[in-house]
Amino acid sequence: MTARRKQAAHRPAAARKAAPAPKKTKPRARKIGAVKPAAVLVPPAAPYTLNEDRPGTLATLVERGRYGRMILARVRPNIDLVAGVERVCASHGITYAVVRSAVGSLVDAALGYGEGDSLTLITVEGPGIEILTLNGEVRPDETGKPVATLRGTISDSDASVYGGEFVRGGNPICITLEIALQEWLPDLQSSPVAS
Amino acid sequence: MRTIRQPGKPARPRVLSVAASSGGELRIVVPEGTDLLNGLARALTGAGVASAAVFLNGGRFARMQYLTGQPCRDGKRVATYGAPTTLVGPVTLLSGNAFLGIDEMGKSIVHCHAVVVDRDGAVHGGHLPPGVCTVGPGGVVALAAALADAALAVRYDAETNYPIFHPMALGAAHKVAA
Repeated sequence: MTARRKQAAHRPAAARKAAPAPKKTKPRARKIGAVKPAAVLVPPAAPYTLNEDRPGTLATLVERGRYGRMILARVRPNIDLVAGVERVCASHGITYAVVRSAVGSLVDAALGYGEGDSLTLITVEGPGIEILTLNGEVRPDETGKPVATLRGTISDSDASVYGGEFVRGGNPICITLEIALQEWLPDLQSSPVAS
Repeated sequence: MRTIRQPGKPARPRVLSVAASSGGELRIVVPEGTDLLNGLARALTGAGVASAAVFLNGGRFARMQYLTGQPCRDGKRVATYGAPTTLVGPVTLLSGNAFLGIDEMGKSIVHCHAVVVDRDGAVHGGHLPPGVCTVGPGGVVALAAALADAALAVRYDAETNYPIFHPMALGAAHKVAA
């Protein structure tokens, strides 16, 4: 089953009748199937610790902090989306940041969804794929290097919409990426609060 | 990763950025009957804001159009917009991202992409042009981060052959080429 067929199967019957997907000669999205997580997705820094008060559950970490500088950037064509965001942050010495807004396009797109054995990668061929929404944050890895985790939605030339986590090395910018990243300044003096 | 050859020479640096300080946070409700992009631009400039990063937090359209990208066949650009898709409401705006900046004539301009669900439950999304997206009942809520000492300004980009927003430092803001 391709990603496109899967998406259509979730569409209400009324919608399929009223707004049929445009016909196309060949599928532009390709579902690769299960992939090794480490190969395509950035493993998130471990944000959880065991909650001793509730055995078997995970503690919710609450990090106090405040917002700092706003970084306004343009990433030019053929730079990878994830690497480009990290490059913007590194150039300003920022290791913690959140995406405040982003508008742009991709040559091709690679999105991941699911986890473990069901982790799936879809690729959508462009050029001219629109980034509709982009959410995510930047956190330092164990060496202090900024690492971006970005999720969002895209549309292809047939106006089909896809969503997932943007895969590192799979999302080259097409025309431009305009992005606003705001620095997050965690209060590193305070211990995380488990709730 | 596939890269693509643009019509113009690759410009450097490949990443442009400026550090700005916040010009304040604004919550805007664009009312029913108003064009979304023009309404956003009027609201922000009326509040003294020339450049802002905007998050569209949802709402409704009475009627809207969007554009999606496709390969450009004449070779002048690598991608262009196809014919607009028109949706008649009620259309629910799920989310969107936008920037307010200044065009080459000094006029305010909004660049906006959004994802919506139509009256039949189909999800759509693309580039929203100005003048063709009429807000529906309940309005559209936008959260804007104003920029105090930086701007987004449209400049012609010879590499892509498009006029494009570029970050610009104003006053003492520090420009960084990554």
